[in-house]
Amino acid sequence: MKAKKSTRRRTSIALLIVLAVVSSLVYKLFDIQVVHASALTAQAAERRGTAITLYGARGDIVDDDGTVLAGSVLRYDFIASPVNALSAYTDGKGHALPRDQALAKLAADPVLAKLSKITNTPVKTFMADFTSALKANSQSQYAPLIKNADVPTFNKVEALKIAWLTPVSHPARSYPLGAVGGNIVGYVNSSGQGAEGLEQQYQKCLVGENGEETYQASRDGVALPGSTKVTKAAKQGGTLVTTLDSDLNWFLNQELASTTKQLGAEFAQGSVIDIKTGEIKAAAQYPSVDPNDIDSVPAEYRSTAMMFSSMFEPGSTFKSLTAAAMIDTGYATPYSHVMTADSFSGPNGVRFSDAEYHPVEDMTLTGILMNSSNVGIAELGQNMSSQTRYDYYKKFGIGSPTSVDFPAQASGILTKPGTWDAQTNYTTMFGQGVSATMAQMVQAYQALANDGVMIPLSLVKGCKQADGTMTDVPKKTSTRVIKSSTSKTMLDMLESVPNKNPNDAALKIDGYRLAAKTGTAQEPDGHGGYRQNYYISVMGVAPVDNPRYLVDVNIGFPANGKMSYAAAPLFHDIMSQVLKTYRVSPSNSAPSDLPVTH
Amino acid sequence: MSMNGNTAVIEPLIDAASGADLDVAFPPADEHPWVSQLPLPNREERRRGLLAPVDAPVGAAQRPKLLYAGIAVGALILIVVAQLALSIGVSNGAYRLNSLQQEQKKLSRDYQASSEAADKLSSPQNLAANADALGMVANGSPVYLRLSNGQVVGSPTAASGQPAKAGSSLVPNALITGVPLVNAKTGPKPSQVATDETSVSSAGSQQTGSKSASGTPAANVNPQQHGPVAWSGPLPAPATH
Repeated sequence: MKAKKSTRRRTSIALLIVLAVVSSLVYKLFDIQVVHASALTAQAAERRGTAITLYGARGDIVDDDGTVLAGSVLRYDFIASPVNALSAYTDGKGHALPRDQALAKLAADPVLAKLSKITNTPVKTFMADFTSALKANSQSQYAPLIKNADVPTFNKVEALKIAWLTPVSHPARSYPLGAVGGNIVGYVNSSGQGAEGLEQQYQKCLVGENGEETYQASRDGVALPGSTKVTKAAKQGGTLVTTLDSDLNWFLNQELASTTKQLGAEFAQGSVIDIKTGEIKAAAQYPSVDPNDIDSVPAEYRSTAMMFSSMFEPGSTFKSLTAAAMIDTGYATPYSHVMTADSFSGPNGVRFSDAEYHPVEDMTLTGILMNSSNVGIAELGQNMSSQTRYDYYKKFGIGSPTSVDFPAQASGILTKPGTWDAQTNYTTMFGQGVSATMAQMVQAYQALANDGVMIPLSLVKGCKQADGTMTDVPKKTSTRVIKSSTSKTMLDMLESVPNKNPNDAALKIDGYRLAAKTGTAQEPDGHGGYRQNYYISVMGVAPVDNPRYLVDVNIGFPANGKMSYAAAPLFHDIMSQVLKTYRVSPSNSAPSDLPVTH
Repeated sequence: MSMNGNTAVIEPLIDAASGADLDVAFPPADEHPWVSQLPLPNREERRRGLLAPVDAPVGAAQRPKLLYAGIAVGALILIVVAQLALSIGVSNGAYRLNSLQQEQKKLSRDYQASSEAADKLSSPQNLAANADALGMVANGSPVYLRLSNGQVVGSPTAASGQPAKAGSSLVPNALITGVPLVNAKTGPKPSQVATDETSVSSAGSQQTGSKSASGTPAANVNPQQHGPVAWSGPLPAPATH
């Protein structure tokens, strides 16, 4: 019995020891393979592997047919190793020369002269880079010599086969179309983050994420088979698809520039809207920033886009919104008429006049719009409740920013009717005492022309991810602003502007029914009065029988040609180009013929 | 030799300790799972001793064959050789992969250079400047032919006006500075300049102190390929309805 017991004890002790050893091994194995696996792998890769960055490029910004407005390219920096460069110069016995002598030899080296010729940089600059690097650290391996070389330069430098010069690639941004839509597209800052425009607004969509790959290199630098390991996959940035048409946008840019110069104006802006979808097909301004060279324009035109940020008193183009409110509520018809003089004076010292002298006439509402009479619209509208008008202006989107996602968007100013003084109560009817951006004005006219239904403006179609899915697609909730019949009546009335006002005949486009409204607005001079020069504009819709496109052009303070008809040829050229570009078929119906006088 | 010749008792301790008659004294086997259930040795076998040598195998079949040894050694050699060949193949592959990757890098650089050049040349500013230089004028009044009834819509008027002054693009584009117009009689061709031109500042904001610009032809420009490219394929025609 005794022998049996001791054997059992021995067996169990042995078993316990074995168990203890095995479990400690299992614990350690688990710890290494599971708990600390990723940290250890990274550590191992760091020690043995060569790591290379896999670039996740910033996505492109493209127009509606895929033309690249902003794209990513690789640029190359060349880093010199001063120590290695100097060690090449030895005395007769193979000993290194003193630093000063070696530097002098390097400066005289023909290879540096060649490098200087390729990069258009004086040898002196290179030598300054060398000495400053050596000054900071006498064993320096790092002296950046050439920055942002493009591929042809890279090839030429590489062909020199300089042993102490190493290329380093890095992504950079390029804007192939320059200033075409420059302010809309925006640009990136020095660290490659979006700083303005769509680049800023859609930073999250566009940004890529760099990855990393490690491998174990053999002595001659070749990756050992099977050792390549992607420690972090790169994520390519999404492609931002805009609604812009780059060719049309160029045309708009070009026309605005030439008209601004011709009229001696300060600036101009214009936009083209697809009425049925609310898409902004072109948005341009002059001066327009070239994102490749942002210093080429004055500072006030560098950031954001005028279309969304520049508020102005819209003036006469605003009268259509007042007239729409009158007709929609049944307060007036196109035939409503009033005796209209060229100036108005009312109680509480209210005084204003029309832009030009004219005899007293019995104008209809149509005629008031055609002649753009401040007095007429005020006479007709003065008994309408100001709250009702305010509600309509609000519904048209005045006083609140548009639904377009754009940085630094202004909301315009539309104060509550309770705060309007006697003068403002009248002037709001013809667009003074309120302010709006061009985006807000075209949004209002979009609703006016689109059968009374407002479709939110949009500048982007969405962000196309690497896997093909579209994200950031703007929501399009349409709302009815005015009755369908009001929309039709308004367009018929506005058709009288190009057809019946001889001053605006230059707006006409052969074959198409065109509705337009001109504006000769005055802007505050900042000293309590109004500026001498006008802010002229034309807003137009074609074709009236099936409204497709809306064009708005504004010219800021022309020195020559002060009245709105100075902008007429510009509008005509742009609208013709739009109709041509989109192959809009000419109108089939006869133009409206509403009476302008009673 | 009986059939029991190869059996063995594995628990002699029980026998010695109990001293009882072995044939009857065992408790049922399931109570002592460590007790062998093999048939017990008979008295004659016990007298001779519990363990006895097994009869030696007889015949050539029991001797190791040279063939088997040969096969084993041969297989080993084969495995070593195959391993070596595979290693060489994989290493060769690694070098090939490396050189292909280098080539891919170079090709993607070439691709980038070409597409940048194409982007520059196809920018509306460049196209418009060239159209102007060739004397083309935009016609502001479109005229349409309605195919259903042959009606001409709009009034055809000849384009008027002077082409804009060549090279005076009003819409700036820093990328195309220095690219000559197609009708330039002297100097390099636009394609040459576009592929070779170094961007002094690809984006003004992000690049300061750019030190690149040059005038010598790029290594990757084939001097044979200048001038118009012959058209191959069908002539372009608009889609009609």
